[in-house]
Amino acid sequence: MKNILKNFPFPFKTGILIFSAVMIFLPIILINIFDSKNIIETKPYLFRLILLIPSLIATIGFIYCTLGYHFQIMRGDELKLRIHLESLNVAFTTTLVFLFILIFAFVNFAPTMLNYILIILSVIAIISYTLGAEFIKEKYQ
Amino acid sequence: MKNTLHILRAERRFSQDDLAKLVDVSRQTINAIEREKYDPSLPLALKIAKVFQKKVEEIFFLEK
Repeated sequence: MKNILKNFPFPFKTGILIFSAVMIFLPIILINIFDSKNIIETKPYLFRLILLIPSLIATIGFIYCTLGYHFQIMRGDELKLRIHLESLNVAFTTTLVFLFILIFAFVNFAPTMLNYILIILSVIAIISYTLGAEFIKEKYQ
Repeated sequence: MKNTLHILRAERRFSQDDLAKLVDVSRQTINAIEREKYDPSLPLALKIAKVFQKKVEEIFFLEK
């Protein structure tokens, strides 16, 4: 399994990434286009499908892209792999620290915000990875 | 870790890009190794040594 993943070329990554990004916001657009209150009351199963199917497609797309970019880096240049791994380290540590800070802050001051903790942590992880990569690149220049 | 990569490269009149292609890495990796910002992995050090037909320890060595 590991060898299959290592050798699989993961084609159309950028296209799939853009498509997944569109898909994740599609339910919001669809609900605004249709009469959402009417759909929720008369056809709740349709409302669930509008939410579920694009989110599922987006999730599969994001997983595909994550694996694709990861294995592309693993197969490629060793300095880029080093930068990638060090950036992942920075992102993981930052996310973990923020997890504890946010749990403390939300539980004590804004319990409803706990619903959004995963989204907030995802954004923090992406930003810390990107910033981390830039700082680490400078170290090797 | 010190290295004599830039001297060897100059002797052979290789550009960083030429050497990078020969050992299958990016030009940035060769640049980082020459500037002693990055220590190469053992397989890469062996590949570089093979290109210059020298022993690894003749190219890469610890600071005295």
